[in-house]
Amino acid sequence: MSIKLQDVNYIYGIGTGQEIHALKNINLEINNGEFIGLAGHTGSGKSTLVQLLNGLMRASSGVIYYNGQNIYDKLYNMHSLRSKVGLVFQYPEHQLFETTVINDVQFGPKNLGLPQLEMELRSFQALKMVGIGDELLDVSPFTLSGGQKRRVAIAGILAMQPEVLVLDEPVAGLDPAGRDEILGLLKKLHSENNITIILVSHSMDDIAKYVNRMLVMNKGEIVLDGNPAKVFQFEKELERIGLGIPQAVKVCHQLREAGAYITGEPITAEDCAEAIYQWLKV
Amino acid sequence: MRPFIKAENVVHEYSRRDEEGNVTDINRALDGVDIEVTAGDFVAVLGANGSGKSTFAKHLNALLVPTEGTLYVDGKDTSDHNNDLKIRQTAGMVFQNPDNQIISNIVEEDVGFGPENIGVPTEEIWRRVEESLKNVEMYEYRKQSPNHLSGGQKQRVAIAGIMAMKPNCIILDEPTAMLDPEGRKSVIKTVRELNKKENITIILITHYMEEVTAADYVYVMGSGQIKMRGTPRQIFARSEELTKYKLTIPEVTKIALELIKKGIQIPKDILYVEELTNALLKLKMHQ
Repeated sequence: MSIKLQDVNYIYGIGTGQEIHALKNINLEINNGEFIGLAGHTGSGKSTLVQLLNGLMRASSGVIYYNGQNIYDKLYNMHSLRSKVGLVFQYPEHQLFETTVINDVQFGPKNLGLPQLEMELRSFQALKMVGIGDELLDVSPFTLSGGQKRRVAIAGILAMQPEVLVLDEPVAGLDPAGRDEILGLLKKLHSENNITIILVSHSMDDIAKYVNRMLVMNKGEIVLDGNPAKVFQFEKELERIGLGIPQAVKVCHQLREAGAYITGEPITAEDCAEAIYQWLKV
Repeated sequence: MRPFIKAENVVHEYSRRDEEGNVTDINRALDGVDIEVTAGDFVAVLGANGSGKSTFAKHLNALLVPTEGTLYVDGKDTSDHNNDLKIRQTAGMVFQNPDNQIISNIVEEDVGFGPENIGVPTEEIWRRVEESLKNVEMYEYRKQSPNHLSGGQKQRVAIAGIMAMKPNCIILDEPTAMLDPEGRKSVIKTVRELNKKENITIILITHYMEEVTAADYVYVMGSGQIKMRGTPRQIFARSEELTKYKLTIPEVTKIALELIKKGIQIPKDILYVEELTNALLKLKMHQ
């Protein structure tokens, strides 16, 4: 699996006199097995970008290649692209609609035209992957907790067996335990099921600990690209575009500015405490 | 002094009914809540999803009334429907989704909607609209359509709409859940300023730990009950208990606790980055 964007532009409202240039000359390559965090404040273009990835919207100019094939080619099978690149929208639990959990998860595979048996098998597997037990298969999705509902919604996408899972703000509105639950699930899907994950969020604290590559967008452009430790070195730049950095990184930066010798770029509280401990010991 | 809000053993049950109207299921969302809030306080209510905090918030301006127990807002019993209008004027509510609470095509008309409905004379409405938009730093947007505002700006307009009704208290139910960091900061800053400068009582419901560090007092809810109460420092020093209620502590407090575990002697109720770095630098100097 690979996705390649070449000189991609997206302009809302072309010809209306109120054009908004949402994406400007994006060049980007997403490789198999990556866990990407896509950050940027509201209106930076990140939601526009992810909707181009599975062909929901068409770039105003530029080309997108999926596994080397131009997805705008006349003969390209857009339908199969949409099952390969699964998109989980913000507040996906608002899209639950069926009477039982299992029916809701089966809706996607059913629309792929799969045989009954295959459809059921995939749905059971998907629910197992997100940790929804058999006892919940026949209950109404509306009786579940917020975190459970969201996991059922994600299972609905997983049942399509995507190669890439794109999630737009998957932890918005959840309490800390719910946040850890969803992010832990994504980590597991990435490591155990080898799914490439693109996590869209404006909370640095949430994504920094999980992803191995961060993309930061501002005004329709990708301004920073690299592993979290590298991206967080640009503290001033991140703050200027309204994002900020995790508190652990901030603590280390401040100590270093005051002359402390702290090695590495710790992101979690534990690593940060260890780095400080090493410095205090000397 | 009489407390501005006084909840005595408040219970709220949501009951589900079948087609004949018989109760089939009862969900006890609030289970004996006791709270007293002094006028002018900044109070935060923390709680996991489903802990009952939104149900409690809706009691504070009589959108819901207790199944058992009593709740007084500004000395008025919320169960008495004759008090509804007075209570809603004195305690205004801001909800999570900014798009669900804005109704006009122009910012200043939206802010004027509240006072207009309670029969404020026209000139007074315009005076209040101006004042409250200035208070939330949205005055320069007064002629614009709310559609073009960011989430944080919309929430501030919603707050201005409440302010224009001259309430003594504003209840905010997860006002920042849908906002980006910049929007979150601007809303919290606005709320703090209204508390300090205008002496408005604030009840902030949230599960972002960083937002409650500035509160005078924090209540933690779990399974419809108040499980913990105290100042932010007292609450965050009890991290194990918080985890039990599906909450957490700010990252910087976590770092401090990790260091204490390793034998470093720093206070265990640290809430701010500067506080931690200053304590550490001081420690290093004395080594």
